[in-house]
Amino acid sequence: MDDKQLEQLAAQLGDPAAEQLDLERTAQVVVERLRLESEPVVWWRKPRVVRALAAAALVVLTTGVLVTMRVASTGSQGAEVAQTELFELESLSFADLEEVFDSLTYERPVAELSAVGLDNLDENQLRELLTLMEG
Amino acid sequence: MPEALEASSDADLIRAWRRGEEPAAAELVRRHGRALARYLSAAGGGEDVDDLVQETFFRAFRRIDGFRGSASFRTWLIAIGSNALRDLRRQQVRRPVVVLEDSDVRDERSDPHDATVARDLERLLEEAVRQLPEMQRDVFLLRAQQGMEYDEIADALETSVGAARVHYHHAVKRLKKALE
Repeated sequence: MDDKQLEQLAAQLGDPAAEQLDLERTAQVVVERLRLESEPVVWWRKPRVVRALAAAALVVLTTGVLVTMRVASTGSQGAEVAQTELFELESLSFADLEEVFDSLTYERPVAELSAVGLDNLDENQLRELLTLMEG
Repeated sequence: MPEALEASSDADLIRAWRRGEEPAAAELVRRHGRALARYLSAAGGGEDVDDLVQETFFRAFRRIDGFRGSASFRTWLIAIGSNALRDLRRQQVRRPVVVLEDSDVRDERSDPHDATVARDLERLLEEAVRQLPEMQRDVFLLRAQQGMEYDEIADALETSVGAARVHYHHAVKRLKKALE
C-alpha cells in the first residue's frame, strides 16, 4: 500500500459516525446548554448560602437537643441557662454561626485532659478532691 | 433555516454569536458538526462521538473570545475536540473496545468479496490509528482525513510545521506496517 492509497482509506474513516450525527438535535442541545449556563443562579441556590443555611439549621437542631437534655437533667434552672444560650445563638450572623458550627466539631486533645493526674496533686488538694467526691 | 445565515461566512457567524445570537451558533454546528464527528470517530471516540461533538461545540462557544482567527474555525474546533476526547478518556477507567457493526460501514462495492476486503482494511486502519501516539494520530487525521495543510495543523496542535511533518511521516510508517 502506498501513501496515496493510505490517505484515500483514511479519508473514509469516521464517515458512518458523521452520517449518523443528527445536526439539528446537536445544535438544539448545544444552544440549550449555553442558554442554561448564561441564566443567573437564584440567590438561595448559591453554594455559600446553602452552606450557611445548612450550618444554621444544624446549630438550631443541636441547640434544641441541648436544651431538651438540660431541661431533663437540671429542671427549670437549667432550662433558663439553655434558653439564654439559644437566644445568644439566634442573634449571631451567618458568619458567626458558621464559626460556632465549626467549633462544635472541635475535639479536645487527649493529652490536654490527662495532663493533670493524681500524682500531680499535693495532700491538701487530694483531701479537697475526696471531699468533693463524697458530696 | 434562514438563507442569510447559510450565506454568512464563519467569521460573520462568530461575530453574531459573540453578540449572543443563538441561530448563528446553531448554523456553525450544522456547518462543522459532521467534519468534527468524522475526526472524533477516527480518533477513537467510539460510541461517545455524539456527546463529544456536543461537548466540543459547547466549549468552543463558551470560549469564543479565545478564537483569534489565525486558523480556521474548523481547525480550532478540532483542536478543542481533541482535548475533549483526551479528557473523556482520562475520566474513563477502562475504555471499552468498540466493534463496528457491519451496518456501520459503508458498502459501495457490488462485489461481496471486494466489500469484505475493504471493510477489513478499514477496521485494521481504524484500530491502527487508535494505537498511534496522540500527536501522530492527530497530525495524520488532520492531514489525511481533514485535508489540512501543515501550517494549519501546526497552528491547531501548537507545534511547528517541521514537527508536524515528522509526526505525519512516522504515523504513515507505522500505519503501513500495521496494514501489511
